[in-house]
Amino acid sequence: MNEIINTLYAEEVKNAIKAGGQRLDKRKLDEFRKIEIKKGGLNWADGSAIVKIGDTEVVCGIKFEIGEPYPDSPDQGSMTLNIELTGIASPEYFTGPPTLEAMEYGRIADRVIRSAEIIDFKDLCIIPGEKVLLIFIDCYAINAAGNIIDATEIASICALLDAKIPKIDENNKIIKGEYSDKKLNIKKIPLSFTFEKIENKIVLDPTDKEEDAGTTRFSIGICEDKIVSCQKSKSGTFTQKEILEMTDIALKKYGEIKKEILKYIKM
Amino acid sequence: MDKKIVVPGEFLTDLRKKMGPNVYQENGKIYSSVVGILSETEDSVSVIALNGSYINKQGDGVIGIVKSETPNGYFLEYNSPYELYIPKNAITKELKIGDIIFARIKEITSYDSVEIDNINVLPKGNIYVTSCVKVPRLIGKNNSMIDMLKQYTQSNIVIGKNGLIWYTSKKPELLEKAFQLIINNSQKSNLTDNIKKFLENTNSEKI
Amino acid sequence: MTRYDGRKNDELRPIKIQVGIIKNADGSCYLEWGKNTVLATVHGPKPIFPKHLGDETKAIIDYRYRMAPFSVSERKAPVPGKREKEISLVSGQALESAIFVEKFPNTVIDIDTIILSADAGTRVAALTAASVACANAGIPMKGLISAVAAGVVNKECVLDLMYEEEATEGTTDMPLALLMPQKEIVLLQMDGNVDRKQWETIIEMATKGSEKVYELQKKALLEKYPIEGELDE
Repeated sequence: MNEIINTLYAEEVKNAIKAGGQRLDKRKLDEFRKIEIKKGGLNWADGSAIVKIGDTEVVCGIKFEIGEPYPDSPDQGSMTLNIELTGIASPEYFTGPPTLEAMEYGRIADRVIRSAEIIDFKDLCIIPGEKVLLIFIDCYAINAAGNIIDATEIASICALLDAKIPKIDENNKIIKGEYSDKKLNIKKIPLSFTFEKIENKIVLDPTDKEEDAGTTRFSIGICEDKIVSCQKSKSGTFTQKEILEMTDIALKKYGEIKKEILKYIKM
Repeated sequence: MDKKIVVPGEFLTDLRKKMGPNVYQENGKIYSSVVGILSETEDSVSVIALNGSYINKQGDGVIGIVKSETPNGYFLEYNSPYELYIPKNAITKELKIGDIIFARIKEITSYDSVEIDNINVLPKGNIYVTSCVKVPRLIGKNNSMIDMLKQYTQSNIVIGKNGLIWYTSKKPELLEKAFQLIINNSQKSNLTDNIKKFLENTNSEKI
Repeated sequence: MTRYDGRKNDELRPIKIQVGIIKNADGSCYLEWGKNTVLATVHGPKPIFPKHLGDETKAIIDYRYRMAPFSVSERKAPVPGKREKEISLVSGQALESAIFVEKFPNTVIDIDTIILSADAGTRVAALTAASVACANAGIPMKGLISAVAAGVVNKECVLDLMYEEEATEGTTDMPLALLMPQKEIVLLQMDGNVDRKQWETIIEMATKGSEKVYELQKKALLEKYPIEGELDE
């Protein structure tokens, strides 16, 4: 039923936007939905967070593991980010191998965090060239109602801020359930801003109905006053002017969203 | 008598009574099959479910949305485990995907197919989806609830027995909020009065 | 001998059940059971595609048990392994025995459970949550599925093993699920090594434990639908 309703409202979304830049939920074009965050509380996760953006909800858990470094960075640990879109979140998702959609969402969120260089991967080195700590960031969509990308990114960054680095014994193995005093030493919060283009208007933080109505998506990663990543997706097009407009909105909104997040998470 | 909520498998009676909806019998005893409000009289027992999917019933007026077209007809989604089929020869005008239809179930031909008549294409409007079990409360005794909603929110409302509601409204937010309150509190008494209070109190404000 | 967390041998860990918390789902349940955390959602009955997968006589129960990578001590790969698939199969069959599947021929009922935090007894926690989610979805059922494990740890018969007990050398673990209130066994698995007397004891223990779980499930469902009080938003 969900799917046909969204299709039905796609027309409605388009008409409202065409008529005067109205959104069905009365938000301004550049307005985020309400963000709520619950941090921690999962026993085996080294860090965790549940993030809600409106009705969209994503849970993220962090695990540290010991592994080998990449040959080109022998003294650095690494991170992997993954988002699962399963039947839990929407009857339209099927449980099976990850879809291309889920892979793209994960890659976009991953790039925001990675290129903001908020984690010093050298801190995660145990024996150069042999043993390093790997960070696994695993996310699950719990309720899919649009803009899973930003929810995934925010959940990941909150879980990273919550994360404690495990203690390592003399044989270079993780001591389960024991943590060193060190945290990840994250000083900045990179944020993802996703836009949808509907009838030549651009909206921030699209709902699932808006995503159905739109033809083009743009996600941009911002860290303080810098642009750190971006992704244009779906089959439509943007003009150069539009890209710069979205960039300015994201830069302008960064402080506001960061403040929202800091209500729930201490840095 | 006080209202009582029962759960699946809950023993209701071992007297021989006529069994209404959402109960089942085993070894001469009657049990509930859903979470719902017990409704028991001297000679009958049933449970009013608080959630659940729509099962076709002869005479029901239902709302569906055209989902796909075949050479001979249309398939509609209608908040049911099955699809509704309208043969092209049953209607005079062409339908398109997304059209909202109100029709009456004339005859049930098998578990997953029905014959319908009185087919109306509803004009452009909004759709609200809920479980079919909430419909009686949304309508109210002698249409009391739906009439009140129409009046306070200046709306046209058509409720399908299958839980799809079509509406156009001058105050759509207020109406949707009222729908939500009715649905979330459908097990409570004095609902019409409480919704009336809500509408009166909220009406003066901005919403 | 006292247990790791000081419980009596026949005592359950604390259980917290919340009903109907996920918006997109027809029914849902969030459950905390000791340090286990589980989410369960139900979608359906809904049309089955492709149609040939359907059964003319009943609804198909598609039950999925999955563990989040961060739910366990060693990170688990997100792809479900044999263990998760087997648990999904037997849990789905257990639920099917409770559901009036014949009322919805040629449909599917999707039941998704995900373990966010695991501390032994996850399959019984998931099944307990899934059964509540089905009731919340209004799916007609003969009763609820109430489940708990019992076993033998250090030669003592105990109810509801926690991680440290399950990990003890020589432990026997036996998850059991009952259709309640009928008390029919719908899931039973075991690995370990017990004698006839212990076997009977742990089955009896798990049965009594499941009855307590059933009371908590009932309570959670009733709390979802208060018949008095202010309007709930």
